[in-house]
Amino acid sequence: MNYSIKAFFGALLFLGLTVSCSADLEEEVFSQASPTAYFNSRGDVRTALNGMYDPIQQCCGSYSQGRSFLLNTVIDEGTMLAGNWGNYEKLIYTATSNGEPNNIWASNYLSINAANFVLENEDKIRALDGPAGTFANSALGEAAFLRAVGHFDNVRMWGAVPLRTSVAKTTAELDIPRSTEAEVYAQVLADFTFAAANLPEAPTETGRPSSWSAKAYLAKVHLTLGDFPAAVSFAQDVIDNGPYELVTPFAAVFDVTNENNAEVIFDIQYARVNLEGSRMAQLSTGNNTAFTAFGRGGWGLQIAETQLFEKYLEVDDRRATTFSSLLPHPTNGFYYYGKWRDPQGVSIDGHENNFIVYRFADVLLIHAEALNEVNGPTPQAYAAINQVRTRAGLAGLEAGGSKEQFQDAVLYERHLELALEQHRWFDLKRTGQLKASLIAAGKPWDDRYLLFPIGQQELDISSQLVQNPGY
Amino acid sequence: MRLANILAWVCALTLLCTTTPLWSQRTVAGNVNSDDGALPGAFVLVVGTTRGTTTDFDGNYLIDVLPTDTLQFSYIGYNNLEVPVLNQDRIDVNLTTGNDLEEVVVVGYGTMRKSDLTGSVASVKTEGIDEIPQVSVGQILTGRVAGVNISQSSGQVGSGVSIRIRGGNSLNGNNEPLYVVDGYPIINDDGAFGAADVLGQPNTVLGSSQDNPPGALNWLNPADIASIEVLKDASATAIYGSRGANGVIIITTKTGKKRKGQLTFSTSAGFSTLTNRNVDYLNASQYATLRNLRDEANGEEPLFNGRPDELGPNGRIIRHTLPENLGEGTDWIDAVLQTGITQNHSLGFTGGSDDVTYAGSVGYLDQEGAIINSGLQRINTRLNVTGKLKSWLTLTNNFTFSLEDSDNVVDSRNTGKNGPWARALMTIPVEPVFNENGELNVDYSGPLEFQLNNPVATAQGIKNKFRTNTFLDNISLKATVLEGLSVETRASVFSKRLLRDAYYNSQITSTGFSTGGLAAKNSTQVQSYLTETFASYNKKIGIHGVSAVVGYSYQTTTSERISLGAFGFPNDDLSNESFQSGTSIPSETFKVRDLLSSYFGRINYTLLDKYLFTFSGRADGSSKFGRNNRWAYFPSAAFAWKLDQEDFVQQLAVFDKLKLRASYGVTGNQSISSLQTIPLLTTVNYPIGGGVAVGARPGSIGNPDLRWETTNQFNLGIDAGFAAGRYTLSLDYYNKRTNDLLQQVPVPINSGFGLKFDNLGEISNEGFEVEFSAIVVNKALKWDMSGNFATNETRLISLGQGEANILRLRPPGITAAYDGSGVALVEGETPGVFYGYRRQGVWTSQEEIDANASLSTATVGSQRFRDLNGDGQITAADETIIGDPNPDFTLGWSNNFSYRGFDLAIQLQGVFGGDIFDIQRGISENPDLINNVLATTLDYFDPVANPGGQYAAPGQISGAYNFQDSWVEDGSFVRLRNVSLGYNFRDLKVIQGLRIYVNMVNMFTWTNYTGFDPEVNSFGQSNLYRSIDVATLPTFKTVTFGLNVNL
Repeated sequence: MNYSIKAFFGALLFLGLTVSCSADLEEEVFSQASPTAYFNSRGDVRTALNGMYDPIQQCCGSYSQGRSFLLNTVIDEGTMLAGNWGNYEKLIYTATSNGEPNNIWASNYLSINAANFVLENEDKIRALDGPAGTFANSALGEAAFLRAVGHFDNVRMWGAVPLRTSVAKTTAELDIPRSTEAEVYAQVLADFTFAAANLPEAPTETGRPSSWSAKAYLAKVHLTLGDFPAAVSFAQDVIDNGPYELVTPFAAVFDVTNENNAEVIFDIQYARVNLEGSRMAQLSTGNNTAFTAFGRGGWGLQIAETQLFEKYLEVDDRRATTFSSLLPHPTNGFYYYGKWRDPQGVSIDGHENNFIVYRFADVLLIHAEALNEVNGPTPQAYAAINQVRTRAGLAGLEAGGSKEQFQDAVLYERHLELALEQHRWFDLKRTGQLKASLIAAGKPWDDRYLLFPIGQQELDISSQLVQNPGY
Repeated sequence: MRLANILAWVCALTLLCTTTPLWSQRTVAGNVNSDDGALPGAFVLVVGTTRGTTTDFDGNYLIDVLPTDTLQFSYIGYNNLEVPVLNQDRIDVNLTTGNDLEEVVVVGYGTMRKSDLTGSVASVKTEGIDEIPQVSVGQILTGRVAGVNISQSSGQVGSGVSIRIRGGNSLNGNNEPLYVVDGYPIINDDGAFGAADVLGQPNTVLGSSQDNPPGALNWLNPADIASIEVLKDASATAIYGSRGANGVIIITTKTGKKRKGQLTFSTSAGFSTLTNRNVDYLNASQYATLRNLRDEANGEEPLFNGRPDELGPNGRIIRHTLPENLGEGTDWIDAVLQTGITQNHSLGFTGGSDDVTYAGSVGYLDQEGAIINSGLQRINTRLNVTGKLKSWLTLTNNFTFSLEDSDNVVDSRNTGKNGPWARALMTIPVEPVFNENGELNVDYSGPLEFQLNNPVATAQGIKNKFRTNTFLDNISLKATVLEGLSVETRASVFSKRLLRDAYYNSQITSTGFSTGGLAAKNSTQVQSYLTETFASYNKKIGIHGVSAVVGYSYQTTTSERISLGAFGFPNDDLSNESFQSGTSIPSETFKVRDLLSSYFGRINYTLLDKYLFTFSGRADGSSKFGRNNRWAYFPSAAFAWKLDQEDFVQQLAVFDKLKLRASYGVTGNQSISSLQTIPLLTTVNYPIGGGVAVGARPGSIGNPDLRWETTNQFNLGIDAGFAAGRYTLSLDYYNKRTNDLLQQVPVPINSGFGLKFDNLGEISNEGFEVEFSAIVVNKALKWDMSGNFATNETRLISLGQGEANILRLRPPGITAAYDGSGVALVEGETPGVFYGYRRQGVWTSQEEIDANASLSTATVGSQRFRDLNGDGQITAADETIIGDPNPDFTLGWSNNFSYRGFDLAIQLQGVFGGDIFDIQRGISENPDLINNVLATTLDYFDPVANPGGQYAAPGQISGAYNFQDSWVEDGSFVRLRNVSLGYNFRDLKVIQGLRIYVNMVNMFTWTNYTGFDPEVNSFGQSNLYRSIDVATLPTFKTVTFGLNVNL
C-alpha cells in the first residue's frame, strides 16, 4: 500500500515534469508565411509581385477611389455630390480631415514597401533563375517599376517625401525624414531606368509592365522635371519602336470588352469579383444609367462639371465616352462620368474596368509638349497632337502658332483627351497653370495648394516629418 | 407542552425508582436532520472518547452511551451540536448552518479559511441569489463586489460583458480578468478592439465570428455556480503570473454532498422591454418642416412642397406631401422593438454516499431579444462527480457541455450604420414601413448616404446566427500521500466551436442588394489542453502553522478560423445554405498554436495564529512572448496581523475580528495577440492572368523583444467584525503601476506598416474600497444588508513615445465625415479621455463670423467653436480634453428581508462622476437632415423667431461633424438593479420545498443622461474607447415570474 502510493506520486511528478520541460515555446503559425523564409520558388516571387499591386488596387485607396475623388475635384473637371467629399472642390482639406490624400499616401507606400520586399531579396530570386537571368531580371524590373510609380505620385503630390528603398526592420527605420525632391526624383529615374533595362519588351503576363512601359514613364518623369530633350527622346523611342498605337474609335479604349488594348501602357487590373473589381462605375455613372452591376445604375456620387462637357465640340468623338450621356440627367441636370462602365459588374466593388494609369495618347501629347519646349511648334509636334485630335474626329491644328499658343493647345488637348483620368492636376502643376486655372474656375487660391497636406496622424506619429507649408 | 414535560419527569422518576443505575450503559437512537433534510453520514461522537458512529442513509443512528456522556453531532458545512445524554433514549437533532462556522474561500490552487487570508479576496456565495434566475456570471457579480465594474457592451441578448477589477491596466492589451472555472483558466477577450483578435482581424467582406459574438462565459450555467471568488491584489493573483494582472475570478461549481438525492426544478418566464424609451425623435410633420428649411437654406426646392408624389428610379415613392399633412409618420424605434420573452428551465440534482457524491444540472434557456428577429436558445448540461477510489485517492470529474443558438441582430459596433437599431435612430419618419403594395419600403439605388435602409427590413433581411458548442472536462486525481501532504494532478480538455451563419438578403438589405445576396460562414475553433500537477502541504507544529502548494502547469491552445463566402445568388430561397449557386469569394483560413508552461507556488506561514505571512509566485514561459523574452517571473509577499488575537484589542471589547493586511507583488498581462513577435506576410489578391491571383506583401514587422505587461501592486487592508459578526467592515487601499504597456504603436504609414506592438508607457490605478455587511434586524423579520463603495483613479503616467505626450485616436467605425479625434491618450489623464472642440453656441450673424476665429465653412446659424489657442483659426490645435469616462466612485447596496415565508431582496447600484461621449447625439442633431434628428433640435437658431436657439439651423452643417463637448454628458446613474420578492411554502407533504417569486431587473434608473442608457459602452472591452454611445442597443428591464420546486 505504502509502496503503491509512492509509486503513484513519483509517476505523477515524472509525467508532469516531462511534459513541462519538453516544451519548446515557439509559437506555431500554420497559415501565414514568414518574410525571412520566403522566395523559395518562382511562385513565391510571382505572389510577392502581385502583393505590390494590391494596396493601390483595392478599395478605396488610390486608383479605386481616392485619386479620383481628390484629383478630379480640386481642379476644373469634376465635382462631388456628398457634402464632405464636396469640400475637395472648394479646396477644403486640412491635415486632420484628410481622408483621400491620406488614402493615396498610404496605399502608395504600402505598394512601395511590397516592391522593396522583392528588390531586397534579389539574391534569393536570382538563385531561383538560370544563368540568363531573364526571370529574375523581369521580376526585379517589375518591382523597381512599381516602386517608381508610387514615389512618382507622392513626390508630385507632397513634394519632398520620405524615400523608401528597403523594408524597415528596426524601429529607427520605421520613421525616416523626408528626402529632398531631387533625391526622390533621382530614385524614380533610377528605378524606371532599371525597369527599362530589365523588363522584357513584351510583358510576361497581360497587365504587367514591359520595358516600354518604363520608357514611357521615363518620358513623363523627364517632362515633369523639365528635361525636355530627354522627354523627347524617350517619347520618340516609345512612339517609333514601342508596341503601342491609338485605338480607334475612342470608345474602344475604355470598352470593358476590349481591355488591355494596344493603347494601354500601364493599368491597374480589376475583375468581376467582389472586392477585386473596380468601384469607378458605381461612383461615377449617374443613377438612372445602366452602366453598373446588375444594370442598376451608379450612385452618381461623382459628377463631371457641366463646363467640362461644354468644352467639347459636338463633333468630338470623345464626348460620348467621357460622359455617360450626351444629355444632362433628367432630374438633376448633371453630367456624369462615362469612361468606366460595366453593366455586367457583380457588386459595388466588382466591376471589370481596369484603371488605365498611362496610355499612348498621353505619350503623343508628352512628345508634342516636349518638342515644343525644345524647338518650338515643329511639324513633328503638330503631327503628334493632331494624331490625337484626328482619332477624336477633330480637324488637325493648323501649323503656324506660337510656342505659347502651342503650349496652351497641348494643355487643352490633354484636358479633353485625358479628362477625368486624374492627369490634369499634375499637368496644371507641371506647367505652372494651377493657380490661373483654379482662379478661372472660380476656386480659391493659396500657394499651399501646390502640395497636399501630410495627414496629422502621420505627423503626430513621426518625429521626423514636417508639414508642408501653409497647412 | 408542559404536560409532556411533566410526563417526562414522571417517567424519569419512575426510571430512577426502578433502580436502574444512573451510569448504566444503554442505547440511544435518533435522527440527525437539517433544513435541507436528513443528513446521511453525519458523525455522532461521544465527547472525550473515540467512540462514535455515523448516520445511515435516512439520518438515523444508534449508539451505546452512559447518561453522563455528551454526544457531539457534526456534519461538514454545519455547526457542531453537543447534547448531554442524561436519561434520554432518543435524541433527534437539527443541525444548522451558521455564522460561527469558519468561512472557507477558494484561492488559486487551494482553499483558505477566510480569517487566514492575507490578500484582498472577495467571495460571493450564490446561496440565496441562485433562487432567482441569473442569466450570466456578470449579472451575479454586478454591484456586489467593491472595485469590480461590469458593463455590457450591448443590450443584445447573450452578448458579452466587460469586467474591470480595480480599473484597466492596459491600453491595447486585454483588461478582462482571468476566469478560472474549476481550475481551468479562461481569458475573456472579445478581441474586437485594442487587443487584436487572437484569430486575426476579421475579413472585411465576410465579417467574422467577431461580429457581435456571444459572451465568453455563456456556456456556464449560472445555476451551477456555488461560489465566485474575486482575487484583487497581487498576493492573491501572483500565483496566476502573467495572466493575473487584471485580477482573477475563480468560479467553483456545485458539488454533491453526502446525503439523499435531491431534485430541484426551476422554471421562470421573463418579459424584457427597453429601460428607457424617453428619447424623442422628430415625427414626420416636424421632420418635413425642418427638411424644407434645410432645402431652402441649400438653395434647393423644398422636398415637401405639396406637389404630387413621384416614382423614383427603383420604385421608391419620393414624397412631397406638405409637412402639415404628414402627421406622426412612422416611429421607427417602436417598429423594431418587441417585448422579449425569456423562458428559463433548469433541473438540478445532487446527492451522495460515503464514496461517491454528485451534482449536476440540465438547463434550457430561450430568450427573445427586445429587438425584432433576435434571440437565443441555450442548453447546458453538467455533471460533477467525486469518487473515493481508495482511502487515500479521490477522483473528481467535472463535465459540462453547452449548445447555444443565437440569432443576433447586427449591432452598430462592428458594422457601421448597418444595424436595425442604428437604422431606427436615423431613418426619416416620413417613410412608411411597407409601401402601397405591401412590400417592405426600401431603396438602395443611390450611394450609401442616400439609401433608404428600412430598419425593419434590416432586422429581417440580415441573418446573423451563431451556433456555439462548448465542452469542458476537468478531471482530477488527488492522492493523500502523508498526513497533511497531498498531490493533485489535473487535466482539462476545452473545446469551443463557433459557427457564424450570415446572409444579407438581396432585395431588402443594402449589402445584399449591391452584391445580389451575400452569404458567409465563419467558423472558429479553439481547442486547449491543460495539465497541472501540484502538491499541497498543511501542518501545524506548536505555534507554527505552514501550508504550502507547489506545482507546474502546461497548456497548449490551438486556434483555427475558416471563412467562406459567396454572393450573387439567383434568389434568396436557400440563403446561405447553397454557396454553390452563387459566386465564391476567396476563402480564408488561419491557424496558430500557443503554448504556456508554468511553475507556481505559495507558502503561508502562521505564527501564534496571529501573524500571517504569504509568499507566492509563478514563472511563466509563453510562446506569445518574443524569442528574447520567453520566461517571466512574478513574485509576491503579504503580511497580515490578526489584531483580534491580541490582548489589548480584546480588552477594548469592540472588535470580535480585526485584521490588518499588507501585500505587494508583481503580476503580468500576456494578452498579446498571437503572432505579434514575428514578422509576417499578409496574403492578398490581385486579379491578373485571367483570374484572381494570390499576392503577398509585408504585413507586420514583428518584435522579438516583446514582453508581458508588468503590474506592481501594493495593497493595504483592514477587516473588522463587530457584535459577534453582526457587522463587518473591510477597507482596502491599493496602488497599481503597470509598465511595459503592450501598445499597438502606430508607425508612420510611409514605412509600409501601420502598426507594431511594443512595450511602452505606464499606467497607474489607485483606489479605495469599502465593503460592509450588517444584520440589521434578526427577529421574525430578518434584514441583512451588504454594501460597497469604491473609487479608482486611473492615469496614463507615460505614453512612452518619445516627446509626444498626447496621442490622438478616433473611435473606430465612425465615418470619415467626422472631423477631429474624439478620443485621445493624454499623459496625466485617464486613458481614452474625450478629445474634441469646445462648442460656443451658434453663429448669430455674418459680422460675428468675420470678426472671430471661425471654420472656413461657417455660416449664420451654424455651430461655433472656441479658438482655444487664439491663433484666429479653428484647427486641430483647438481640440482639447472635453470629457473623462472614468467614474469618481461606484456604489453597490444589497438588502435582504425575510419574514415568515416571504423574502425580499433589493439591490441598488450607482456609478457617479463619469462622462459619456454621446456621439449618437451628434449624429442625431445633424442639421443636414439626411437622417431623422432629435426633437430637442427644434430649438434651432433663427435670427428672428428664436435668436437664443442653441442648435444649428437646418442646413447649416458647418461644424456639425466636429467632435465636440456638447455631446459629452454626465453619465452618473443609480439603478435599481434587482428587486426580488418570493414566498417559500413550508411543511409541504409531497415535496420538500416550493418557492414562487417575481424578480425585476433594471426597473428604475435615476440619471441625467439624455441618451437611452447611462450604462452604455459601445466599444465593449476596449480600454481606449470607454463610455461612448454610438447607436448601441440599450439594456433592458426584465420582469420575471418563477417557481422553484425541491423534491
